[in-house]
Amino acid sequence: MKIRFGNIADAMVGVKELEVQEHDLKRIFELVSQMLKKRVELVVDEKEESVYLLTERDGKLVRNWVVALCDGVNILDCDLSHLRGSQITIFVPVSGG
Amino acid sequence: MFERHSQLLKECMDKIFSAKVLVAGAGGLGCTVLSLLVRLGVGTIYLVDSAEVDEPDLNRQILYDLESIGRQKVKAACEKLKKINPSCNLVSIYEFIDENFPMPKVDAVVDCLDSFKSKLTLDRLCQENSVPLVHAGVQGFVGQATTILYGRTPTLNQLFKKTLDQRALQIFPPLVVLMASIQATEVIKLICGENESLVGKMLLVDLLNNRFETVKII
Repeated sequence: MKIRFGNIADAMVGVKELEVQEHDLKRIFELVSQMLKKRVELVVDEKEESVYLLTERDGKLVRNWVVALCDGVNILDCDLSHLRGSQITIFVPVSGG
Repeated sequence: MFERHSQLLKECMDKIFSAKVLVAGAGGLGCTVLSLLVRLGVGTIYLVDSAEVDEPDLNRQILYDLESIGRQKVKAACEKLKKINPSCNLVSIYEFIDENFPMPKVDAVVDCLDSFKSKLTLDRLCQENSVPLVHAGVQGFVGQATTILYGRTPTLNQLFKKTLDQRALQIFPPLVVLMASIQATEVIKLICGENESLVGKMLLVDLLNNRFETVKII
């Protein structure tokens, strides 16, 4: 599974793309954290219909709202323990006009 | 005034001359979208905004100047646009777009609004009226754009779910003009029936790092 960090999310994590052999969301980000040697986690709040990217900055955990798409489908609509697809894209949509 | 692009668009020019487009928001994105659609020859344009021109708008809202400050954006924009192409039928609507907004019958709606709340309201209005929506958002050096065809692509509400508005106080002016130019191109592609558009794709732009990527959306 490819994990792509798009607009703003790439700056939070410090990389553009990673690849892991895993389809369980929790396990995917355990592997991502291991690879980056810092905590990176995608928190899916189904009740609030929101997704947050947790990253470490200066030893502190920072939580940012993001959109995560698994092969083009919002991850909130996916089975998080059996993600089907080949790519998760995480980015921060912006609303300015 | 169209001879320098009519050969590119050929028989589609007639479709453009008879097209009706609603531009929601006459701010940063809206000014460039409006300017381009008028210059391209779109027949009827509804421009909707409920704000007045403020001095900080002038860095990116290309239809306004110092004399526009304090005036209704729709009025100042209309005057400028009429001087560019008097044959365009411009309908200015000084109104905030909410759930009760009476959507006119148009071929496309362009989302140039500046908050997720209003963008998602516009999305619901377009879905109710089955009219394609060309979306964009900008902040800092980054932006995204997509074209929504209801029934064929996810809606903005399905894509973004519960959104958090971050007030974008800093916006790089060239990014705004770039994203608005992409929106105007998408409108022309919708009118002309071009296949290679942002339907089913989200374009992510990071102008500072020269990154342009498209992500499939289902």
